[in-house]
Formats: sequence, structure tokens, C-alpha cells
Amino acid sequence: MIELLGRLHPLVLHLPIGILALAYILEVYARFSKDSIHKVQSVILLFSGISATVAILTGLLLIRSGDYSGALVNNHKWVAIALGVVTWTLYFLQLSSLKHTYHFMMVSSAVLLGVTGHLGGTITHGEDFLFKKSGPEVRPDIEAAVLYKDIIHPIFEDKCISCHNPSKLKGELDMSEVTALLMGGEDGKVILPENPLESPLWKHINLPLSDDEHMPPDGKDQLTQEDLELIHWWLKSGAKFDRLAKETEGFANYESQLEKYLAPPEVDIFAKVEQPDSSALLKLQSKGYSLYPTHNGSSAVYVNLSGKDDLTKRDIKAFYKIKQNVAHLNLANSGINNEMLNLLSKFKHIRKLELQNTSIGTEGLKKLKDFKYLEILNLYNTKVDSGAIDKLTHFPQLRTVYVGKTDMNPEQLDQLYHLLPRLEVIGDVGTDLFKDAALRSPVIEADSEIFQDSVEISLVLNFKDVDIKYIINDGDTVDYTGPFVIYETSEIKTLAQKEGWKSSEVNSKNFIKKGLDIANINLKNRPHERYSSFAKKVLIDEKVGSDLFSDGAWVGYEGEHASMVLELQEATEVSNVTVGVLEATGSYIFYPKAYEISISEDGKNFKKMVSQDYAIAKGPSQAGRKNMTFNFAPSKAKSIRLDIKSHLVNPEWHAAPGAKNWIFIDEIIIN
Amino acid sequence: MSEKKIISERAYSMNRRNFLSKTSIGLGVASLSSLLGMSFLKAGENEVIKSAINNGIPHFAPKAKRVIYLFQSGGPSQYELFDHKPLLRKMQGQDLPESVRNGQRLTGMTAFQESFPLAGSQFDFKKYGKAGIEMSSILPYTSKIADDICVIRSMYTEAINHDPAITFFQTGSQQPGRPSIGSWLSYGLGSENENLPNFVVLLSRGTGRVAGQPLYSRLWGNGFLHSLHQGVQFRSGKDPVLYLNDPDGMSREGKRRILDKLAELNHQQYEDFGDPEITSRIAQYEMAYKMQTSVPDVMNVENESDATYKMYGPNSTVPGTFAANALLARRLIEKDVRFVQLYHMGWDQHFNLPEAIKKQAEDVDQASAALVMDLKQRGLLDETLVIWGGEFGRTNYSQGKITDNSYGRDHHPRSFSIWMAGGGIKPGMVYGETDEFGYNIIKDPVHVHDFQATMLHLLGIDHERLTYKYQGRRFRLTDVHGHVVNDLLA
Repeated sequence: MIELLGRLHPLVLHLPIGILALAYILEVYARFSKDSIHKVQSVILLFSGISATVAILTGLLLIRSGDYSGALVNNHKWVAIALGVVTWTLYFLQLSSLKHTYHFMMVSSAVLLGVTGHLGGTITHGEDFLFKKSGPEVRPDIEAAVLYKDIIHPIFEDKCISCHNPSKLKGELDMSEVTALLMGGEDGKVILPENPLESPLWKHINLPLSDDEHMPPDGKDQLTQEDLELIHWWLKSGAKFDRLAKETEGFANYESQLEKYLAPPEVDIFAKVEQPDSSALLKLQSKGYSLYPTHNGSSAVYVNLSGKDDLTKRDIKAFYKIKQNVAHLNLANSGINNEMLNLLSKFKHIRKLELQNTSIGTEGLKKLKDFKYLEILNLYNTKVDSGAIDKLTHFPQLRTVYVGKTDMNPEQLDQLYHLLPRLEVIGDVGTDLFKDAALRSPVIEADSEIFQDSVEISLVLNFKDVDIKYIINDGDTVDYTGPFVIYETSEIKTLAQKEGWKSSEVNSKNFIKKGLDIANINLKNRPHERYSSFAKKVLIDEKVGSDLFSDGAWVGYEGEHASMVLELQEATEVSNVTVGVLEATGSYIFYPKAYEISISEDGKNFKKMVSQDYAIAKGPSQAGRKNMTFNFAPSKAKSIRLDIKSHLVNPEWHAAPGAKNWIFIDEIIIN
Repeated sequence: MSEKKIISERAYSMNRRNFLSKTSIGLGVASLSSLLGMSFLKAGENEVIKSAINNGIPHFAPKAKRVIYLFQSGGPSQYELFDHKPLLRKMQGQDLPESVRNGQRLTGMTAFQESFPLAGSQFDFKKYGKAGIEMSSILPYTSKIADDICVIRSMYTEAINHDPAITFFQTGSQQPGRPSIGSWLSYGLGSENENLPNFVVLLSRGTGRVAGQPLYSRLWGNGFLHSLHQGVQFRSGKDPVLYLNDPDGMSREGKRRILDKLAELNHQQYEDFGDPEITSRIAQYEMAYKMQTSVPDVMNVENESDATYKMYGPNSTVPGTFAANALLARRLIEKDVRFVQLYHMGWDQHFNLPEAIKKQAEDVDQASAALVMDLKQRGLLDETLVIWGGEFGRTNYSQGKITDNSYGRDHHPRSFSIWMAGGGIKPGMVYGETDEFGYNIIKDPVHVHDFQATMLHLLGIDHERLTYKYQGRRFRLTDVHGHVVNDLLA
């Protein structure tokens, strides 16, 4: 019975509102009219007082029934009681002659009526009934949907949260936020994360409708079978709050049911936007702007202002004519700044916004409109910092954000990942992927490897801020500051160093001081005709053959040894002979097998000074040359005989084993 | 040229001219101001936007706006890089069964070889990424980006020698004379940067075979399209584009005046003869003028950070290397160049393959991976298609004698591997499969024309509708073939 009376509250409460409203109308009427309202007003105020009292009493009964609690209800109660008191006061004041007090109380009652009415309305209809956000709700598509946030929570929102919210707190349970939901209600937890299917929440919604504990209560909008299945799926998969629907096990079974909760994949707003005026496009184009429809028949337009470092507000405003159509705006490397960013608000359908390599920062980013359709935002190499993280949560469709080379640190990026699990956050790559970088060796440059008196040597590495070091003939390490000169036969070794880099490998090169003048070369056997032209000259022309055997500087012998006698101008003391040789196994060229050097003072009786053997290469190699230097006891000589033995045929491992092979010789130096 | 032809050409160009003069900034109203040349170009661009609006290119929503084609010239061996065939190592030295070869045409280099000893890879393979893509140990960096690339193991072609095979890939025909892919795209999609050519070519020599196959500039030629669309080679060194710089003592203003006057004369010539190549010529002069400042700007890598050089590897500091070119490719893409084509030579390992291919791989591995990741972090990969691959594969048997640690491989058209990334390609997957000998495709074959059709599709172009009428026939990149491989699309 008491309960029934309590439930009359929503009916009764409208009486004092209506009657008081009539009282206000009469009061205003009286100010402009000579008619007396005194008697009528007295009756009206009496009924106002009575109906207000009844409303208050039924309201109190309703609260007692336990269905309503929370701060909002409490406030409503006290304001309503105040209103009741004021109404009765008004009735008695009207009978007295205290005009000023009466008018003051009249205004007060109107204020109280407004407040209590609003509070009451909020209790019944929810917080944002009056100021509900307008516009189409943008929901993620199936690729991006988070199971709880985008599917389960909306079900709760629809069926549970009108009672279990922070204002009403039925059963002292608030389901509007994840943390509150996990905290539970008056009977403890409603979700048991360790064993979700045993959760009281699941039990209550599965009780028979007749059971008092059944949720939602009989008479309220009930959960559908489909709702129950989805909630079951969520609980069964562990009641996780940040997992993507498509990554939750069992996704395939539920995929079809999700559709009504989600936007169709790739919702194309431009299917609804009108085609841009082609003359407007042409006009913009003729002004030098780069823009075009993304494809034939589409109303979406790509606007490319990248690289425009003198960008002004006018450039952006130029596109206001087609503002509905701007789908992709590329401002990379442009002069866009924080101040100009709010100009972009007009492009409300924008899907992709590129701001990389510009001076914009967090302050500017906050000025951006909460673009509903923005999917990709490029902030690479800008000044945004962690202050921008919150802003990123304002773009409901945001899929990918590029934040490499910004002031966000890795932990902050991690935070972003937790806030927006469906968002792909692309930061700097490469720190671990490409860490083992070594420098290149400096290149040793000189006019020639063979020099007369001296040669200038440069060490070259085309890279800024590197330290180049070098050593001459096992001497001390020297910092390279510029070209240097050597006067004797030397080996130069060099490497490069730089902070944060691995040092380069050592590069080395031999420089040979030109020896004695050779008057004549007497070739005992002819080299191969293709590599013999000017052989006598080529061997002592002070130009060293390159790695390429066919460069004209080499003398080659196919399948035979080389034998020659070098004649000096006059008998001179000699102590070493250097022979340059080439190997390029792929081209059947091998270093020689043996070297024999004999000297003679008369050109007839030769004395063998050197005899050295070498093994053939064990495997294939790229083309390469080297200088073989043979030292012997200083002796007087006029003729020097060189016998350079070839391996004659390719080794077994070669692609063409047993085929005739070659020796190549260039540059002979005698000292 | 017969009289009749002259008349008909004239009629054709009159239409074109009428069209141009109707647009507000067309030739008809072009003043003789210093902007004359500019307006010609603008007219060209208007055609682009007109084409976008009226002719319907792109035909549908494109995934990619730009392409970087890392062409590996010479024919990289799939067996040492992407297609793991353990059976070959097991059967090392044994003869390739005739049932597998099945009459495949051979090159002159192995046609007379007595036996075809199978050769297994000298390098170990491992699985990488979420999809477990198998790659060999000589690709330490590419394997790290396995989740970002799509490896196609079932490419095949018809050509068995370098030049026809590269020409086939680049132009859709083994015979020279058709436009290259980059030219088709320039023609179809137009330019987004009026200061740089639409189609830029960068060459590098491999260390695996220094004196490798040469390349011809017709590979990036415009064929029968307007010469406006030909690829422009940027060289390393002082003069990236030959003959671009003014002679000493010439001022930029002077140059401007010359070009204006020249354009005026050319314009008169065009009025009289109506040869569209004349407008191409005017536009090219104009482009060259702009490139005098834009090219040094794009080639100047001084402000690139140390981190960037570390990514692309130490070679990226040496102009003319593949790594340096990869870095340049990224810079060109940032400037909206439509098609950047790199050629890395030296993959033609007929002998001494294991050692040489290791060097080749070292040339390109890090920089290729770095390019993909660099584009990714800069937010450019989603709209840039990166392609890595050669003109054909190599045989599973050795050319010449096989030993424990050395062998060679001849050209093989029936199966080979490439990879693609970004620009609407499904990342982290392998497509296609070869038999256990690696010789024949057993699943999802992708013909060169299919590859081309798919690439155009990613750019929003229906390969059957991008055509150019020449010699009485409508030509297309895919000739009369090609199917889009839908499974590759993200």
C-alpha cells in the first residue's frame, strides 16, 4: 500500500507545478490590470500548498521503498521540501499585507520549482536528456571494435545504466565506468574476473523474470536473447576490457551479430556528400594548388599543400569552397603553424590529415576540431608532446597516428596504447632494428701508386663529423687533417671513427717509389696477343693496372709461364723486385704459382737470387690485384731475369676445371 | 608523312587546341609574359585534372599514390634468398629429372651442357615474422621486416635473356618500343610536383658482379607517349642531370628571357603544325629550368640525420650506391615524384654464385629494409608501393661444374621470387608456391602481366582502360593480358 502511494509520486508531482505556474501567470496579469485577483490567488496558493505537500509525501515514500538513492535524489528531496515550505508561506503572506516579502517569496518559489523539477527530470530521464549530444554517433567498424567498449557497454547503457549510474545508484551499483563496475554494489562484486561466468551479474540477468532479483526488473526493457549471448561471450572470454572483438576467441561465431552495434566497415561519408563543383576544382587548380578527386565519381578530394613553406591562412581558406569534400589534406613540410590549425575545422569530413615535418605542437593540436571521420593523423617530426595524448582520444575513428620524432617518450606512447587499444601508434623505428651500423673505410686517394720523388695522399670519406686516423708503415697513429706527402715506399693504413658508430674496417694501400730506370725488356715468350700490345712499355709505364683485366694496362699469358729479362741502363746495385699481379678466378685468372729472379752483370751468367712458390687459390674470388715484393742481398746487376710460373690450368673446384688459365702482370719495379 | 596524314593530324590537334583555348588559362590566351611557359605547363596539368574528372582516372579509389621500384637487374637467385628448397641440398650434384624440366627452353649458355647437377643453397633459411616467412641468412635486415612485406614465390615470365626480360617487366612487351611503367603512370595520373619530373631513375652497380649486364635508357623511355613522360636519370656526383646547368656567366634572368622567347617561337610553330611534341618540348624546357633549383635541393642529403644514415647503412653516405639511391628515393617520394625506379645491377651469377650473391645481398638488404621502415615511420608507406625484384629467376641446377662451395646458375623464367610492401599490399604474407625442386609453380602463379595489372589496380587504375592509341591500335601496359591478383590486396 505504501509502495503504491509512493509510485503515485510521478503523477502527483505535476499538480503543484501546474498550479504554481497558474499563480505566476495571475501575478503577472495583476501587474498590468486593474482587476483584483486577490481572492482567486488565495485559493490557488492554498491548492499549491496542498498538492506540493502530497507530492513531497509520496516522494518520501518512494525513497523509502529503496528504489532510489544517491546524491541527486537527496538534493531533489530537500529542494522539494523547501518548495513546499515556501508555497505555504506564500499562502499566508498573501493574506497579510507584506507586499515586498510576498513578491520576493514568489520569485524564490519559481526558482525552487525550476531546480527541483530539473533534478526530478534528471533522475527519471538521465543526465544528458536535456542537453543530449546531437549528430550521428560514429561507431568503429568491425576491424577496430573493442569488445567491451563498443559492444557490451552499449548494451549495458541501453538496459542497465539508466538505474545503475552514479546518480541513481540502484543497489549501490554503478555500471557507467569500468572501475565502478568492477567495484560492485551493496552485495559485493558483480564481475568476478577470475571466474567471469560465476559473476553475480550473469546470475541476476539469468534469473526467471518472476524472481524479484531478476535484472532488469520486470516492467523495464529486458535484455534480448542476442544481448545475453554477447554478454556470455564477453564473460566466457575472460571479461577483458581492452581486447579487440576480432581478437577475442569465438569471434567467428558472433561476427554476424555484431553488425548492429558497429558501423559497416569503411564507412564512406563521401557517399553522402555532394560532388564538388568541378569549376571550383579547376579554379583552385589554376591558382597553382594541387588537388583532385580521389577517384572517378567520388566526392572526396585530395588536397596536397605539402612542401609549401610560405603557407598562409589564405591558402587554407581557398579550400572552404569545397570544404565538405576535403577528405585528405596533406600539409607535410609546409608552413602550417599552431595558430592556423583551427582553420581546418571547416573540413569536417576529413579522413586523413598529414602534418609531419611542421612546427605544430600540442597547443595547436588541441585547437583541432574533434574530427568525427579522421582515420589517419600524421604528426611525425613535430613538436607535440604527451599533452596531446588526451586530444587523440577525441577522434572516434582514429586508426593510425604517426608520432615518431616527437617529444613523446616511449612510456607515454605505451600509455597511448593502453588508452586506445585499437589505435595503431607508429613511433620511431629502427633503434633496435638498425643499431649495428659500422662506418665505411676512408678511401685512399693519390695520383698514382708508383711515384717518382714524392706523392700526395688524401683520405676521403663522404660523411660529416668523422675522425679519420692513419698509420704509415706501422708508425704512430695520426689524426688526418688534410692531404699529406710521402717520400718513400710505404704502406698506408686508415680507418674512420665516429661517436655512436662502429669504427670502420682498416683500409690499406701500398705506394711504391719508382725504382731504377729500365732500359729495355726482353720478353722470352710472347704474351697472349690480346693482352700484349705495347707489353714492353705497359710493364714499366708507372700506371698500375686496375681490377679489370681488360683495361689495357695488363699483360696476360694463357696457359703458359712468363719469362723476361730486364735491362738496366748500367750495372747498379739492386736489392728488391716488385711485381704486380692480378687474380679473378671467374675469368680464369690466378695469381702465379712461382717467381724466380736471377741477376747478371754481363747478361750471360745469371745468379738465382729468389725462388718462391705459392699455392693456388682454394676457392673462387672476386677480381683483385697485389704487389709481390722480393728482397735479396744487394748485388750489382745489369740484367735481371724474371721467371713467373703459371698454374697453367684451372683447379678442380673451378667451374671449368682443367681449362687453361691465365696470369696477368703489370708493373715491375726494381730497386 | 603523307599529306593525308598531315591533314588528319592537324584536325586532331585542332580539337585539342580548341579544348586548350577554352580553358581560362589555355594557350589561346597565354600572354607573352614571363609566365608564358608556366601557363603551358598549367594547361598540361589542367588536362590531368580534367582527365580525373571526365575520363575517370583513377577509375576507383587508389591505395597507392606513388611507387618505388627497386629493380634487381640480372635475375637474383630465388634459391639463395626467398625460396627454400631443402631437397636441392639433399640431391646436391644429382641430375635434374627431365620430368621436372619438361622441355623448358634453355639459354645458349647451358643448352649444350651434358648434365644438370642440382645445387642447393649454401645459406641457411629461417622463418621470420608472424607468418613465418622463410628467408636466407644473407638477408639479415629484410628478414627483420617480414611482417611488413609480401613475398611472392610464384612469379613467372616468358623471356629467358636479360634485355627482353627487363623490357617485358618494364613495358609489358619483350620487343623494345613501348612506354615504361613510370611513363604510363605519368601519362595516366599526371604530376603532383611541377618542379620535378614524374618519373625518376637511379642506377647503381652491384659488387657481386662489377662488370654486369648494361642497362639501356630506353628501359625508362616513353615509347609512343609524349616525351614529357620519359624517365629522367639522376646521376651521382656533380651533375645529377646531364646538361642541366647553365653555362658559366649566364644569369637566371637571362635564361628566363631566352626560354620565354623560345616558347613564343615554339608556340607559333605549334600554331602552324599542331604537332603535340612541340608543347611537350616547351614543357620540358620549363621543367629543366625548374629542375636547376629543385634537383640540387633534392639531391642535397646534408641535413639527413645520423639515425637515417644508420638505418640505410654506411654505404648510404657514398653517392651512387644502392643505399644512397634508396635514401634519395625516399626524398623524391616526399616531394611527390610519382614513380622512382632504382636499378641495381650485378645479380647475374652464372658462376661463383654463393660468394657473389652474398655481396649483392649486402649491397641492397639493409637499405631496402630501411627504406620500407623509413617510409613507415614517416607515414608514407600506406600510400607508397615498394617493389623489390628482378627480371627472372635462376636455375635450380648448376651452370658449369658444381663443387662443395661453388656453383653457378643460369636464367630461369618459370619461377622466381619478388617482394612488395606498402601501398595497399597485404603485409606479412607469402603468396604462391613452387614444387620441391623449385623449378615449377604449383600454386597461384603470377605472370608479369598479372603483376602489372595488380600494380595499376593499387594505383586506382583499371589496366584494361589505361590505353593510348597509336598506329591504329589502342595499346596498354598489359597488352591483351593480365589479371589483378586480388589475394595480394590488403
